[in-house]
Amino acid sequence: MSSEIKVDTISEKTSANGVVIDGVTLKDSKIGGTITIPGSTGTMALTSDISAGGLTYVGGINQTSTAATISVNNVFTSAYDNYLVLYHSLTANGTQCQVNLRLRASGTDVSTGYVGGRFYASLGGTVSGFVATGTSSFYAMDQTTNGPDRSATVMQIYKPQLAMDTNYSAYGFSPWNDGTKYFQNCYGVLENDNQYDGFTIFADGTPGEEIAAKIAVYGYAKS
Amino acid sequence: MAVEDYIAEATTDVEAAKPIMKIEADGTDVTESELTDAEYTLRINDLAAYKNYIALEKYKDDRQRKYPSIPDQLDDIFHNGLDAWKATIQTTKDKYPKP
Repeated sequence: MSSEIKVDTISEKTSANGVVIDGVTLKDSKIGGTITIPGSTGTMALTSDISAGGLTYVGGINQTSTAATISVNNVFTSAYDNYLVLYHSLTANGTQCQVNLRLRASGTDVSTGYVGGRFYASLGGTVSGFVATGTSSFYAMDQTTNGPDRSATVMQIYKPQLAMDTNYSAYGFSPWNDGTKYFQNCYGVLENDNQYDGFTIFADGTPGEEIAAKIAVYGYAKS
Repeated sequence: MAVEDYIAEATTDVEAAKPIMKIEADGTDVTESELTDAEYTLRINDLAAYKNYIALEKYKDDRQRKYPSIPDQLDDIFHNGLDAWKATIQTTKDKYPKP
C-alpha cells in the first residue's frame, strides 16, 4: 500500500532532538540547522550535482620520502577529457631545483616535443620575467630547501588520453633559496598525436636533488 | 659549448650517484625501484642540459631576479641620474657575470 501526505508546510516543533524521518533527523528547518544521517557511510548529493559531474579524484600519491622522480600511472582514461593535478611539495633535497613534468604512456616518459614558457614574479613585485621552458618537459615549479612544504602548484592537463596535442597550464607559489617568494604561471603544449595515461614529476637532473610530494589527480566531468 | 659537451661530465655525476631511485603510483600500489637504463640515459641528458643552462643561460635568470623593478629603476634615474642608475645595474651584472 502506498500513501502520500500533501501539506504546505511541515514545521519541526520539538524542543531538542528534531524530527526523525526514516532514520534521518531534521532539526531546525533553516540555514544553519542540522540534518543528521546515521552511520558513517553513504552519499549525500543533489541529483543536479550528480548529472552535472564536477571533479572526481582518479589517483595520486602521498610520497613522504624523497626520490629522483615520482610517477603517477593509469590516471588518464576515456572517462574524462581534462585533468587537474594538485602538487604540494613536502620535502626537497638539494639547495634549489626546478621541478618539471613529463607525460608518459605505459610507464615510459616522453622527453621531446614540448613547447612552453613561464611567467614569474616575486612577492612585492620587484622581479618579474618570462622564460621559455625547453623542449624536454613542462615546467611545474621552483622548489628549494627553504620551506619546501610551502611550495604548491595547480596543474591542468587537457585531453592527454586523446590522440592529439596535449595542452598544459599551471600556476603556483614557492620560495627561492634566498627567501624570495615567487608566483609562477606556466603554459605549454606537447606537440604530437600520442595518447598518455600518466605523468612523471622530477627535479632538474642534478644528482642529489630529489623531491617528496603529495600529488592528487582529478578528472573534470565532460558535461 | 653545447649540451652534447656536458654528456661525459653528466655521465660521471650520474654514475657516482647510483643507485638513483624512482617512485611509481598505480592506483593504491606504490613501488620504489632503481631507474632503468633508458631512464638513466634520460637523467644524463637532463643533467647535461641543466649544466649547459648553468654555464650559458643561468646568469640571465639570476640578473633578472635581482634587478630592481622598472618603476624603481625609473625612480632611480629621475632622482639620481643615469650614472647612478648604471652603477646600480652594474652591481647586479658584476655579481652574475656573463660567461
